[in-house]
Amino acid sequence: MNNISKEFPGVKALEDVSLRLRKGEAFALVGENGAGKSTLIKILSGVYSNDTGEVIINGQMVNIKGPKNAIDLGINTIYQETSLVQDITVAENIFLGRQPQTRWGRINWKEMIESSEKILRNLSIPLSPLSIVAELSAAQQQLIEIAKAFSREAKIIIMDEPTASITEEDTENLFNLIRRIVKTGTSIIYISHRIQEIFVIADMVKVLRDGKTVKTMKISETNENEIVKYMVGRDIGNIFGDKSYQSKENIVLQVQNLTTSGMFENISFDLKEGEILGFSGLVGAGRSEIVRAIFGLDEIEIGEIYLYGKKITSRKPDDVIKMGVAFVSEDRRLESIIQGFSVKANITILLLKEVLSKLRLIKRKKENDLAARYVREFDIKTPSLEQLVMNLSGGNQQKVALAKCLSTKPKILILDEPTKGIDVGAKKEIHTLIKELANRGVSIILVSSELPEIIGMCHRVVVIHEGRLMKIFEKEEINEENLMYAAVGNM
Amino acid sequence: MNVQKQHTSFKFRRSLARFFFNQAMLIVLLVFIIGMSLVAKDFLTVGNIFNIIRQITVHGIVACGMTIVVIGKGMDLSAASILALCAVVNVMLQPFGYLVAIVAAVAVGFIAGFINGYLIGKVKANFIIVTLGTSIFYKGVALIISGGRNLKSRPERIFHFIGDESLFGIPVLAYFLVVTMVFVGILLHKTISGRRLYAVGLNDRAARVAGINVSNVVMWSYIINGLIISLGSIVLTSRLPRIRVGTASTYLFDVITIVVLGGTALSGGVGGIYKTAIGLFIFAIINNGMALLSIPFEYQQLIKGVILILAVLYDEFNRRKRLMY
Repeated sequence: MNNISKEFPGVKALEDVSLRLRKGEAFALVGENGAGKSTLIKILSGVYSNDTGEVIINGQMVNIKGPKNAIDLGINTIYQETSLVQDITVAENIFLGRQPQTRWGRINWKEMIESSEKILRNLSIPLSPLSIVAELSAAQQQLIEIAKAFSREAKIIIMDEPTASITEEDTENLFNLIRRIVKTGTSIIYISHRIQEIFVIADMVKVLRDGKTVKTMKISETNENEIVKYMVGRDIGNIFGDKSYQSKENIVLQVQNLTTSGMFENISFDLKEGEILGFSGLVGAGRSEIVRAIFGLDEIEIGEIYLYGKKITSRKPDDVIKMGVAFVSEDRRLESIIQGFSVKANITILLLKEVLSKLRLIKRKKENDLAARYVREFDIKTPSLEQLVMNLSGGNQQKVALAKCLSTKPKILILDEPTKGIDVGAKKEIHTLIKELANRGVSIILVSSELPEIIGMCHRVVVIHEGRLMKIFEKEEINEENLMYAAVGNM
Repeated sequence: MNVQKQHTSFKFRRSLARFFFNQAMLIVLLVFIIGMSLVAKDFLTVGNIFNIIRQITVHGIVACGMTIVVIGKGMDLSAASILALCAVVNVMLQPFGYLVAIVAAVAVGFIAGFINGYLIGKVKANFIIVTLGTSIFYKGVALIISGGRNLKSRPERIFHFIGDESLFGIPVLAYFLVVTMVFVGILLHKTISGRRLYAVGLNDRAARVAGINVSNVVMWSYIINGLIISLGSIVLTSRLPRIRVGTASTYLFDVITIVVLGGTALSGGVGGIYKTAIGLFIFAIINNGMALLSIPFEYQQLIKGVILILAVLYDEFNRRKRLMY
């Protein structure tokens, strides 16, 4: 790719970025959110067209006309969200749209299953071609996606944050698969926010910032600190800062024997005023389900929840919000914000009562002022208040979600993976914000899969394993070893 | 220097493109107006314009209700049947005084909208099946109480006043249309309920997390739709000397065409009254134009069908454009 530029209304997403990928090379692309990584791969995979510049594959200049065309050219992209059809088998997914046929035009199941088996075996993926995709874990589905891309004779496989939502063990499997694929001559472009991973898997790394190339380096000639420095363009210092905390003993939220069969069982804990309570455990352990149930999004079969000593009876989010609880979902695309709404409409949705005129109509100016205040306060980078949230970077989307939730001045804030898929700079801003809130007396439940985040931020940590509460760790017991042991069920 | 220049011209082209994209239907409308006034010399006369207004008032009012429902990611296939039922009730009760007739029609609209809204919003049944079912049901009720007869309408002067006369030189019907549009416009863009409706239409899961009572919002969108249709029925019975159930049946197709043509997205959460107004006028001009050019009825049907398909293609094109940005 040579001198690629792309402009969106109000934003220069890419400026003169070039990328040289060799056969059989694993190339890492890093940068903060909004740096232009996604734009670059979307141009390669045919989702966007480039304004200027050229794409050359094997010495031939190509014009990528769309996603289908990109695949025909040998460029396969694996996004964070799965693109597999959930209700059919692995084999059908691998051969989707190009199923082998018998002479009579019917699908040749025998051949399809055998070929799938061979593909999976060659890549050492221990899955049956006859499993239904929906029954596989997220990590397993990812392996299938890669196998599918590989079987289509991909020359280039692009992976957008493949490890964002899988466990460490699954990550190891994924890396082994990538190594095997690279050996066959297929090239990989790998996007990740986890810098450590890059050193394990990549040959080259390119750092992008504000749509420009900052540096392209051989992985063997650089180190973690250098990459982070190039990414943020400044020294970020101690990531988490100190854990100042005046122990307060007022209990604000009390959860007793919460049970929903198949989800979680007998969960009891207290949340104190001004405390950051971590929820740790493996993905799928039931952490999200517990906090969602507290917020009224999911059902509870047995158990009681007390807010300031008063029992909550309502199971509706709007009532829970009125009682001073706010919740930021881990799913930015579908839940925590409305992607098709403007920045303004997202921020003010809980506060519209404050911008009404005497006739109970929304006053445009008042609403704009209010939204502008939050945009300033949370340092949300957007060309205008009317910009649709879907056009913002992940970090800025998350800030919009936080601004919305905090607009009601909640006493209890529940955050589900608040820094998932967010760059280092925005992550730090969000961490600082959480601490400030806690210092001001807001009680926070922080669900996170990142141990450093849990250890660096939380005053106490609840560990969940397969829907059961293993242990609540106090300050001095919180360390990686203890949390990991509890998370896998060893006490 | 050169690069800078290139850059500005590029920017200019883009904003021009965006203007054409956003205002595409307004431009289509202007082209139609100019085209029709060239082809048919009677087109741009006061008489013909008033004639157009009379023809489209009921369409416009019912389309306002449909716009609300479509923004909430639904659709009301029973709109024409509700219109017929309200009209029949209205006409049959006119001998007891116009107030009784009007109140009864509004009540019927409310109940019909409530049944739709309850089943779709609270029970969470699929809106296509629900409104398809109630469509047949309401039509059946209307046929039973009217006995399938052609009912004589407008015994009282007030109905003549609404249907035939002018106020300050403009047909009274036009005021009904404008007031309904302004009312729905304010409801959609200036009230909390309106904002919530858009949120639900765009993403009901996120709306629920934001503390919006999604089932209530959906239910009320159908109830308000029912009320607006009952207003449409009052206008309908004022305009025509005789009413039968079949009179209302063509409205469903036309109203959906109008809403989609304007650019209110079938996928929910995008659109508004301004768009529906443009859709309404394009539809009106095509309809009126076909009559002025004396195109046979069969061909009119054919052209209308093509227009709805084009409108749906336009909707799909818009959806993709939105995803690109």
